[in-house]
Amino acid sequence: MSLHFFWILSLSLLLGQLVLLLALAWRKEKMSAKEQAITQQYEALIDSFSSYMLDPSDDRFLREIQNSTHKIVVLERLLNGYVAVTKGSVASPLVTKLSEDLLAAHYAKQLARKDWASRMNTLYYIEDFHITSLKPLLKERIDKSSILDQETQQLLRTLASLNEPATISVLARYPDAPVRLYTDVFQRLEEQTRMEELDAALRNEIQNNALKHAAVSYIGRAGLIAFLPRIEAELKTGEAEMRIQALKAILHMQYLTDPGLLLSFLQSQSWTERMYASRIAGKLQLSRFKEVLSVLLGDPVWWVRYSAAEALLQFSDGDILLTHLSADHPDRFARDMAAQWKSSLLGSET
Amino acid sequence: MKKVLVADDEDILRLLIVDTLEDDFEVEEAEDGKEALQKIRENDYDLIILDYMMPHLTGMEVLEEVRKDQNSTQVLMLTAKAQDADRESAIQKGANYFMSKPFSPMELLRLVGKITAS
Amino acid sequence: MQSFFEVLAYAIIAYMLFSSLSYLGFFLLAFGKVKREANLDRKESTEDLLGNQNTFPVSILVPAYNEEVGVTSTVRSLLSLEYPEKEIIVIDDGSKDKTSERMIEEFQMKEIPFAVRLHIESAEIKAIYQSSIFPYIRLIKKANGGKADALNAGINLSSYPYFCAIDGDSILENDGLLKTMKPIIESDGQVIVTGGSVRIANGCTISRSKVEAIDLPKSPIVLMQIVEYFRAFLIGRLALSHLNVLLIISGAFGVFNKERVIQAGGYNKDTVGEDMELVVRLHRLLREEKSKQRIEYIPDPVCWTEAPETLDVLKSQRIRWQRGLLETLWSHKKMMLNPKYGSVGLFSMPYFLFVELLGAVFEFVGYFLIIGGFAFSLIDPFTAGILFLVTIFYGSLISALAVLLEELTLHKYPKASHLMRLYFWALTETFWYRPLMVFWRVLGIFAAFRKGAHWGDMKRKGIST
Repeated sequence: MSLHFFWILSLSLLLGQLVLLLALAWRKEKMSAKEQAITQQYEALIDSFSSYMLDPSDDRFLREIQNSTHKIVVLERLLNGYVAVTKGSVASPLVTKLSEDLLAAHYAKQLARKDWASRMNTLYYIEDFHITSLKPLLKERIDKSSILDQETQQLLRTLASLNEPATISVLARYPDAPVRLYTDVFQRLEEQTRMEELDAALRNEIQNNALKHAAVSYIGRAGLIAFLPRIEAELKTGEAEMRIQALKAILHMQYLTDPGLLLSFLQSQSWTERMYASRIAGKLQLSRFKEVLSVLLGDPVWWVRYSAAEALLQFSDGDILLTHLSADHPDRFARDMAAQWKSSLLGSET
Repeated sequence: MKKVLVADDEDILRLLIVDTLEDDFEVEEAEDGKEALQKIRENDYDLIILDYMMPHLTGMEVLEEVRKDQNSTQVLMLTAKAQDADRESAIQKGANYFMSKPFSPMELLRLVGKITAS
Repeated sequence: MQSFFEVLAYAIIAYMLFSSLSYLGFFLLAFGKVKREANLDRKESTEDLLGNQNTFPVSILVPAYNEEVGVTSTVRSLLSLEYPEKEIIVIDDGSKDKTSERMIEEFQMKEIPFAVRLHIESAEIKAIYQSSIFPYIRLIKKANGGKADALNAGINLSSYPYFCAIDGDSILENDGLLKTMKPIIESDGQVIVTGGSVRIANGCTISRSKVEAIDLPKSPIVLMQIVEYFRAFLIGRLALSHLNVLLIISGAFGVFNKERVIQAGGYNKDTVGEDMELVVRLHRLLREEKSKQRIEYIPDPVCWTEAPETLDVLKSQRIRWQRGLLETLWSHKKMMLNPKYGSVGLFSMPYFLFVELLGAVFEFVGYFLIIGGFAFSLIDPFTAGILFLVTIFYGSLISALAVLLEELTLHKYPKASHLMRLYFWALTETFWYRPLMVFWRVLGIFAAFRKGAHWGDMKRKGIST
């Protein structure tokens, strides 16, 4: 390779960069001019907008927005501001009217665009403004989706916010869908639809375990005590993952009708079960398990030792117990863990 | 007519409140905490509506200053969900009423009506 | 002898070309994602989390050593963070000034009896205070033990499952914590650490601990550091995060899963790069457990920091970073090229060793050969010429490209003139800034070796430099 070659390479790279620099600088100027125009129009319209939202007979706003050169963006900002600060605005007939009249057609086009970010933003806005007329279009898109990427996930959330029960069955097509997403969808559905879907998921007639796990997990987080007996029944299932989900749900709900159920889990072969059972025993202050928990303090798995110590502390004499165990437990790891959780009470003398 | 000050940096919310109250009250606005404090010191209001978070001076700081001035005008604080934990301390500082965002303008009108009537 | 230098020169040329190409390769890996997400509506994508009851509560730790001037405004700005459930713990690490007094006065704090669990050992805790205005603000007064020790004490007192640490000279954006927590929340806790990138606040208008107007600083030293951040974040870290092999960046903002950190033993007091060392240790723990949990990085900046304005401070910062890097790599040398540690061992550790650590040595030798070649015919002037051009390519052109790529994707500086200034300053990098950095980084390596001899008495001066 010659010096010549490197000279030409470097210079052409530099030239290329300079061209790109000019193009970017030009784009920046243009973008900031546009942004300024939008801000101006937004500020000019905000007054008539707020009057219109309080008293629709004052329809100056409807005429003024039609004259705006950036009508879509300006309206988006105004509506966004409105729904963020006013309660019950989802059901507001004015938001619906404005968004259906001025935004729906535009959004239908946006959804077909190549640019990912604009499609995503559109999905957010459809949810915020509750644009029901786009539901069929969204359903069509979700039926065509084949991977659960960020966009499909938002599509599901948006559809769920429009109370579309089919979202659950779409989600169930993806066995590794995160529980979080199920939670988001369940939460957005209207109450009656939600309860029906949860009930169906627990009955599990379509043999979809991922869906059932998610339902159990949601019930736990939302604290739906009505489902407790059915969750407790799952503790006896032969399926390991299901038992863990049920334990987690009980930990969240902080309720258990028969504490005796817990013993076999505290002595289970699976460390995850021992860990959750310890946490439940602590949360519910089941003092009959104090001794088992003291034994678990010397468990070979760190997480179990940690949870057992945390659980012991929930009892009124927890601190004394841990102080004692940190000195006398036969297992060295148990003594260390107890010492770690033992508290040094500061400032209590003063 | 009773006199109300609305201090909020969010344009839309402030305008909505102003438009809602306008028919029944004499309403003035402030776009940030500094402006609010200045207006409070120069005027006599029957009610001050303060947003919790504002630039320059937060609602809490305005409230603190107002009470330091021995001014006992009723104060209604607008809080976002994330600030609900601070209500206790706002009461200690002398806030009289609260409203959680989001709220509906009619709700606010009712509350303001009740406060100023008593 | 000349032929030895000749071979050395070509080795360095090859190294620089290879590194440049891998930089470009890394960037291409990450480009799609960054570009795609740049136009996403920031508010919309976090709005949902804000109102969600399942967001995970976070303890914010503020280690403070002699920070009486800034500590209360740091805490004030943390109060306005958008996050549903948080607590703020200020740790006064044996300050000699009135750090604690300022806090106690400003937030009407009262001493409280409080049980501290000694999950991680720390220097003696003298008292704990709680604010009577905002009950979730607490203050720990303890004996001096360095930043790592202060953070460990904070972890012991914290009551939430996640924590983040923030320095007195950093400013978090209002939605910064929410955005950093997003990967953790969305993965249902499968992500145990997230790092967010940092921006340099110098030149911006800051009022009451909030950045109000974005602008560039005048000082070339700071401008060059901005360019450096662009280069590192856009080209390197992003791709590393993509592959889940990210170590961590000194001085970045991170959120950690508390139980995992306790399990790993907390911050290490014996290194100056405690945040990086902790992340490597967590990686190690995950791989040893064969866990599916992971560490993630978000490209969108969430935190502002004050960059050094004088050469002196910059020098000591770089020496410290380099030392921290070396100490971290050394104490986890077992992972290096060890297939048991997966891509972290096979890819990231060697990358940090050869590019981030030893890169400075190679470049240093390169500069030496260029001067030697032109002035004393140490090598063929022809070779020296090629080496010179490649050095410019590796330094200036890649940095300039980073500036352009930032504009193409995130475009965080508002004016076209900002872009121009950053670009042209980036082009000067090879001629003054880079040689300086290279020299200091080499000094840092020496410093680490010298300190290594008496590891034990590596007493830290405190937190702030």
